[in-house]
Amino acid sequence: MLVALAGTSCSSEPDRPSEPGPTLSLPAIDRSAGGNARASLNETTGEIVLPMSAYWYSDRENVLVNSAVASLIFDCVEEAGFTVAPWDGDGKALQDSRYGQWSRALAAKNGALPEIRKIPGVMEEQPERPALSAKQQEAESKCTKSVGRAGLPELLEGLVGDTSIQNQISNLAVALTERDPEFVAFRQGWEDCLAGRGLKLTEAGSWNLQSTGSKEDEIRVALLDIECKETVGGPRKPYDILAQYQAAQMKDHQAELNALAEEKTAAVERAKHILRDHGVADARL
Amino acid sequence: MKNILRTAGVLAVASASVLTGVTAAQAAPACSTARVCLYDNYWFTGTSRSFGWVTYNVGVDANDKGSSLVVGPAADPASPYVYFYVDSNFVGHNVVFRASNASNDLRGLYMTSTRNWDDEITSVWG
Repeated sequence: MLVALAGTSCSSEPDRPSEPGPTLSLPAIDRSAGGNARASLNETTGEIVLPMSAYWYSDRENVLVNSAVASLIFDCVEEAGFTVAPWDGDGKALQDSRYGQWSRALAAKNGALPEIRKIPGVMEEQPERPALSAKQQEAESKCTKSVGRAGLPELLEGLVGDTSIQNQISNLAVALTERDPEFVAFRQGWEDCLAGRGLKLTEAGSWNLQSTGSKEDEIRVALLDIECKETVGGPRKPYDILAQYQAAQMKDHQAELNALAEEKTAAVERAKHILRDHGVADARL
Repeated sequence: MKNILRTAGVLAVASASVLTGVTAAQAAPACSTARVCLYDNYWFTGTSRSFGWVTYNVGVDANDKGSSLVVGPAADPASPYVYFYVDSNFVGHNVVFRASNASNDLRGLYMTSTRNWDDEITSVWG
């Protein structure tokens, strides 16, 4: 989908904007083809849902699939002669802050720090995992390699080496958003507003802002960050642009994406089956 | 590492690694469980520094320096992924590595069409 350019640069300037570097040419995608798409942003939990989100594991599905794989790794470790202590914990997921803080409620609570969501585990909360002996650690490493992902697909956005259609769509949408005139104007307007209020970026190109470091000042700065984003269309604008680039591409790949949705459903069902076989109650699945 | 090589004109980018990465776990050095190891130069050379899977900021010495990396084994097999962020406090673009995986050259890993992950990592979440 993307073609590498034979880019050259002699720049030795360290600042990011002055580093053209080798670039990738991007296909022309008409964003208006996905014009009705919008990002769904939950101001309280920090969750973002984009059109492509349906084709990645949800936070909860990710916990189920990873727990199923872990249970198979533990089976292997036990077969190698070790005892695996009952142990499990909740998962955690981080607020998306690709374009910095976007929730006024979370800015007032956390400043610029992304919200951490607790994702219930598949078992009752257990004590801290006991330290493993060197031999057991070695066995676990071997079992992790031999079990792999147990045939369950890794439907995780941004995973290195993933050349799947869904990752191509997501990556390309990010790249196209960065150079979209509306996004560029949003970013520039935001920076101008910040400068007018005496705020500075931590470094050129960053979405982080300098503060004194106290919690109070971080919250003050984060709220001003939100206010500045509101003057140029609102904090959700970059996510809506991203959503529209995703939706515009999805139209040409709907059959593949439908197959992917079925694959995801089957993988989650298989993960649940594995967990049931390991004694996890239906109520936890 | 990025700027030094640019002035030397070494800019080849593998066309196969379009917006993805080049991994080389088998050729990579070891990194401890629940740690990530960042190297200032490509192919796991130069100054190396180790960080926990939750690192809000890698610090002044390591900030925007990593040119290759190794992810150690997971402490918890049910949490096998690590996110690397371009800014501190898990803000900005990110890329996801599986435990016990590696990249020998972060130039091959793009975050946008004009920017790769060489000399860019600032925070880690896993």
